[in-house]
Amino acid sequence: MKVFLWLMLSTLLIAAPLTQADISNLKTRKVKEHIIYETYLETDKGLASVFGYQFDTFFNEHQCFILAISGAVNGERGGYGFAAFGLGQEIPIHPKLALNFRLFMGSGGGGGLDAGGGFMLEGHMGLIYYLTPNMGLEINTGSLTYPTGTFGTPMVNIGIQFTDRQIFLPWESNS
Amino acid sequence: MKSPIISILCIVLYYTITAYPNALTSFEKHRKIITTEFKSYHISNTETIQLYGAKQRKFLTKHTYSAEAVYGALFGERSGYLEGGIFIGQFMRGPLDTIVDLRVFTGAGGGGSAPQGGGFIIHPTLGFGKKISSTTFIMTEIGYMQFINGNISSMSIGISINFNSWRLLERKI
Repeated sequence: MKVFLWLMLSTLLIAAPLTQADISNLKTRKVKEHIIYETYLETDKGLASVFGYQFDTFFNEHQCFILAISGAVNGERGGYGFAAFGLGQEIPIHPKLALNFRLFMGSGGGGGLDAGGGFMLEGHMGLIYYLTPNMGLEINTGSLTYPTGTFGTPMVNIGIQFTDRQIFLPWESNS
Repeated sequence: MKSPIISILCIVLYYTITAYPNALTSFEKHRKIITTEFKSYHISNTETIQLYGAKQRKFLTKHTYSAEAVYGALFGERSGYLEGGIFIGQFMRGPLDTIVDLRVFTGAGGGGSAPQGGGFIIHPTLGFGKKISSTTFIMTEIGYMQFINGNISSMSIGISINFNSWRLLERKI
């Protein structure tokens, strides 16, 4: 119990307050959250769909690092899911429209699909329509494959996305 | 008799302080490390599995941290096999400007028809790392994967790339 109390207290007392130098080094970056409904067009038991969440951290205004997670919600493949990371590129073509290119690699399987060892590759391209500067709708099409298994399918997805800016302190400012 | 009362008061005080920031609130920074890791171990005498995962270490003191981690099967025959859990660990300075990381992971794992039994994992590891830039360091580690109520028991090896960053929080006191 005493150890637990000391650990709790340590979380209050040991943190370093921001210095003036830290405050002057604070930066912002664009982040985006996606809620995606994705349908696989070819499985051995007909259509299957997954529901997922993706989080983008932007290096600049148009290129990002992606974290993605999805799980089966429709079809005969309950228990199937994947977690992946990847890179994304947006190309604005109009103030309210942008092309969307995304590549993922990750781990997936379950639900009886032949996903081999689980290594997953997915790519998709599509269109984003910005309803407001912070909110958009997207539709994409692409392909999903498991190189160490036999499962692979074309897919389509639709989603809603929310854009925000996040404050962060670069680690380099420590040195 | 006094000890439990003092403990309860301390806990109440802690949650009161952290739940209600006051006018003196400002920001504070805490070190965190984001890691992507590739690891391998034997799932049976004749079968190996390779997983990749990500983890986030949040430092409680300068060298002690708690963290969360998830892993998924990448190669082998067990697609759908997952691990998730928490760990605590300690960073130490090693010889030749290396980093030594001692930690214990505990969590749940299974899927892909693996012999995980109940799925309760204990996985102690010892890692050695080297800085490759001010932000980034690589680590290699050995450990022992033990499913307490299952049939997986094996040495493990792993390699990871780690990124230092700051976690900004509202200051409570």
